[in-house]
Amino acid sequence: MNYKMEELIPVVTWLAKKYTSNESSSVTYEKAQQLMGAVIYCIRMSTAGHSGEVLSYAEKLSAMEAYKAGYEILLKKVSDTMELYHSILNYFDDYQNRCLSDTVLKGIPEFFKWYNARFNPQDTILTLDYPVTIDMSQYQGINAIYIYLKCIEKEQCYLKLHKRTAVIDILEKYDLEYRDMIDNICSPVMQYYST
Amino acid sequence: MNENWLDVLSNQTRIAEITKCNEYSEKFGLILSDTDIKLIVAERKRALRKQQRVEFGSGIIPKLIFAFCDSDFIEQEHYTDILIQLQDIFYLYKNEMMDEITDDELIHFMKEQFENVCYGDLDYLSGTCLEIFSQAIRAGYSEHQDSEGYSSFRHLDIVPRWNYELYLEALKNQF
Repeated sequence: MNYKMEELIPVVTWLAKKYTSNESSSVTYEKAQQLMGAVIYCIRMSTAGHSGEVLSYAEKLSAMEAYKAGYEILLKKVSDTMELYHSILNYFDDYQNRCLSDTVLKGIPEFFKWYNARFNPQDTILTLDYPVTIDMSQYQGINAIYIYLKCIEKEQCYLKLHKRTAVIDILEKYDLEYRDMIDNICSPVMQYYST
Repeated sequence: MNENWLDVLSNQTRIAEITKCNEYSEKFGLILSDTDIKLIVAERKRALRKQQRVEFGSGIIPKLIFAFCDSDFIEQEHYTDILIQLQDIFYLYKNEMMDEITDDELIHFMKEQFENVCYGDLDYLSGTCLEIFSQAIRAGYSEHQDSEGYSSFRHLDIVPRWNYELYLEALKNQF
């Protein structure tokens, strides 16, 4: 659903006033662009729906209505992502790989600590150093983290099908220094069992 | 995205609100004509672009008018010019202070210094008082928040000023 600039600007103005608590009548270009990004991100959320399906509306929502609807969906997504993360933690195993451990156990909590759903929802914050098997470059913000954790969840479930010692053996044969590598650890295991 | 939307946002100017300020400022003998207002609005656009800022709503001019129109150092002859310079200074120092100060705090500070320290000298206001104050803000100074910008400079003022003894000494040295 496309909105013209004239429709988006009042929403950005509203958000800017909220950002400054009405104590400032101007912001920098950089901040204004960030807030425009926040508005567009939420509007996209409202048209994409929580599960990614395209929603259709009998009547077009105003930009402000779409923004507010998208913001509510965004908050739900943050909550669901947190729930997903906590469920993964119950069975998470880094198989001694430092990159996987640092990204999931240290990085993700930092994301939740600093994520600003209102004024910068499009910011992914983390570099997500541990690579998953899908291309993450098209995703931003909470969407990126949700999809990333879904990938981690699938990997963990797969690896759990095999004995831990077997997985570590396979990884050591793949690369004796696998504990320090920044490669995906699931791929070598899948490759081993598929041959 | 087309960056012109930043200009569109800043172009929203409520000329009527600036005109309305005349009702208050004329008590102090200061009035803006339509031409003056158009000039101020054009200068506002230039200043915002220069400082890479976007303004929403009626902007800062009405607040500057209300704060400064009772000044002992502003007369009708230079009123428009001074407002334009104050506007420039305001946007510059919002950036210099990294938006760590509200509009009201900055305007209160500017007015107080303009009257009591700079005696109407805008170069001194911008080049000394605000320069020192902005350095303090960037270094983490925040006591201005309690006083809304008033009486914030005396703790930071490092410029030696005239006092009675210094004046007498200077007078003696003359003769």
